[in-house]
Amino acid sequence: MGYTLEQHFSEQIYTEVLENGLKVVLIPKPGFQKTYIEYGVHFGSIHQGLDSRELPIGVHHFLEHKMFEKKDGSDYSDDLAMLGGNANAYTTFDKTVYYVSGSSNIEEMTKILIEMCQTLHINEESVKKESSIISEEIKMYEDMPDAASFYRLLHNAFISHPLKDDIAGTVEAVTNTTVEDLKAAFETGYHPSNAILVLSGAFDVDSIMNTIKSSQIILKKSPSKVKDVHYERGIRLKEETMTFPDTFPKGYVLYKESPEVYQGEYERFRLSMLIYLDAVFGSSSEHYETLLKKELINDSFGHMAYIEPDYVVVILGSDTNQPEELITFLKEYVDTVVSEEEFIHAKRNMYGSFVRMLNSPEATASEYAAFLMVGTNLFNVLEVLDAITYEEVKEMRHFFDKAESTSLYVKSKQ
Amino acid sequence: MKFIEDSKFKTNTISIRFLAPLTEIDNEARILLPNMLLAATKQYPSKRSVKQYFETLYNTLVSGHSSKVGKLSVISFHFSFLNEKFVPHSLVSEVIEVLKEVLLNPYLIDGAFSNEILEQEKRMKLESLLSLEEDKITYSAELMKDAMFEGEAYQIHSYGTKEGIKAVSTKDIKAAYEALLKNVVHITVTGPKDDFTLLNDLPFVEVSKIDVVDTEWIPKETPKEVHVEREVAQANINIGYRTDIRQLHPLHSGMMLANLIFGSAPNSMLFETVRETHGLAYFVRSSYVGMKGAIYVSAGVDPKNIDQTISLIQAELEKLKNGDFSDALIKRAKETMRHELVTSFDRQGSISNMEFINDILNRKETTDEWITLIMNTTKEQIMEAAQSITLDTVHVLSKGGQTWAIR
Repeated sequence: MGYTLEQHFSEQIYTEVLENGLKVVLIPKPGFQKTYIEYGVHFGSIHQGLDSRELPIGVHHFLEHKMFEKKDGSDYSDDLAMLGGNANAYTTFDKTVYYVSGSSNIEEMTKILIEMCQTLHINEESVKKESSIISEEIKMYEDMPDAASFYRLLHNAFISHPLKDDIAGTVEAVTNTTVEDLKAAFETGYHPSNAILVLSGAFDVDSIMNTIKSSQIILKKSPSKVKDVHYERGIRLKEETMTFPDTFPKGYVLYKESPEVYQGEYERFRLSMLIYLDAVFGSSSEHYETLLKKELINDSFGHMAYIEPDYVVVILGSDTNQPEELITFLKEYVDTVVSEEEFIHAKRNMYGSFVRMLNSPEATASEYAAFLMVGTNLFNVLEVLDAITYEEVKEMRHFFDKAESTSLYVKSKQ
Repeated sequence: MKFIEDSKFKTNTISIRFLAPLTEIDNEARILLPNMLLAATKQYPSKRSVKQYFETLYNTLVSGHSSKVGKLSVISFHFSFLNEKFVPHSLVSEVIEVLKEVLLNPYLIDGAFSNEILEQEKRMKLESLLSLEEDKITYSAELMKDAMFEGEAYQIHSYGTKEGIKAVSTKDIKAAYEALLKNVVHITVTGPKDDFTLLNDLPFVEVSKIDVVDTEWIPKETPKEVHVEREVAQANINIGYRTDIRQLHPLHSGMMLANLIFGSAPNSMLFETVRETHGLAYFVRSSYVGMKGAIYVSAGVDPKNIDQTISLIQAELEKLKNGDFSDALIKRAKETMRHELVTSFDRQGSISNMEFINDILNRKETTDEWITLIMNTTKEQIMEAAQSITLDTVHVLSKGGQTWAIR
């Protein structure tokens, strides 16, 4: 096994898969002072089952909190901060990511990050204390209508699929999470064969690769596997109205589909969909202008597309004084015949965004890792983008005819 | 015009900042002005056509917004575009045309700004003000500052008030625009090499000397206490402190470190005590505004823990003043600052911002000199800086039914 060197856009990438299965990616960025180090596990809130047992909801996010704890009860982020590193983490539906950035002591910080992500130190007391902190975090989100309504929309879109659950779980689930739950999740979910380590910035490639190899702690095979999560058809609730005190009203519509819709061309579908959404509802589109004139949207209007190997979810929405009218409009016009000019603009926009992303070592690294986690290569984007035709983007409108959908209206409590 | 050449970026950014004293502006008209200028121009009289125009230039990003910097109102416009290496031809001259079109060729009907466009922009601003109230963390902090700076020029709201926004007329916008053209400006360009001499032809006066640090402080006999009741699950505590140590003060670096140690650096005193030891909060932090001489502390806690949290925060401040913190914390704060300063060259936005702040403060130190200063700051200097911190205002946003004491 050796390094693979790929040169794109005067970007150099070195990749290697270690003996324990960890994928390592090095992206040197000459001229930058900062190095960004990211350790991501392909283990997120949708992975609620192992082949050996089920896991409580919110366990992935709980683990994220606990990974920072050292054997003696002190904090890894303390050690990283002493070296000038700023560490943080987040949990999404599909993964948990730990990252640190610093401008010196890179080898040391990399060692610490690896140790942090390959060991777990917990006991009953520390788990109990953390569950009270996480409960406060959950309550903080309950007071945020945007966050609460986003999760509700997903909850209504799926009946038993794990996307129905909040990433942080519930106060009840968190309070009942045990040391055993966390250990089981860690042993399987955090096995290096399920992880990617990526560095971007200022470092010596050979030296850091040696450090990484000699810092590996988990060398045995994983005790079990994370169960695959399959797409689920069927909507729990076609529409719902939520109320919050002192909130600006909102309207959202969600579309979901099975990955069969990719027909084997995942990357092409993904980019075509993003181009389509920009052309139809982007800020230079005709519909955007109409929505503004009708006062159905404001600056908060946007779309989110989760185009993953196991599911497609597209969400459109905005703060709006007329939630029902907005959703009616969106549902009617989400199927639009885009013009060739709009297609060209949207394609050019995507090219511009891609180049811009390369300005940031962090963005480059985390995008590369995200792509790698689903088995694709970030630097194929330009090639695929180039090949996408007007015809195939036009076809994207049929996705919305066939996809299942649910709507959510958010209103202020009187 | 300052060109800070740096070939590691793939884009060039032109930033132009218009400066005016806070006491001389029509706040809400000035807040709406950048939106009006970007919503339509003479050649592109609609939002859509303006956006399409930027997009044909390979998605050139243009933004404009108004903010407060010490005593100044600053309107910043940024024009960010792909460098010639990544597009068929250099975009510089076209982007400078964009800049001129946006800043010098507003869309006017018989010499007046469009009422229809103004109403749309007002609606958007009002709605975003309303949705700001949803973000309890930001909203409660703004309420605290409102109480803290009552009667001072700095009380002006960065986001404007609802009544103020509603009252803005096209005449006000015209007056604000005419005033803008007479503002002194600061211009920076960052990114790879290209020819920016056309920027020298702009009809603006570049700033030389300007008063920016805000020393106004109306003293309070006793700390102000405010309680706002809202139906919220979590209570938001915001505490405002004052200091006379500001930008350019010899103890400024001591204060920056004191703030990091207290509540802003990773694993700060507040984080360790309020969150890690007592498990009372998910977020608790402090920030220091050197342009004003203010330190803000905010925390989100269960309502039953308000009293305990406030007293923990006050106790940590006492410890800070008494030097009851470890050398390890000092080291960490210094490393955090060093890292921030060194890596500020990694982002075009911060390069431009640093250049701007240094110029208006007339601060001559290089980043290396500033880092040396920080690294040489002693514990005594940090303590001395901390000892100047005075409690000003305690603000709590929560559902009713709790009491607390300020000790």
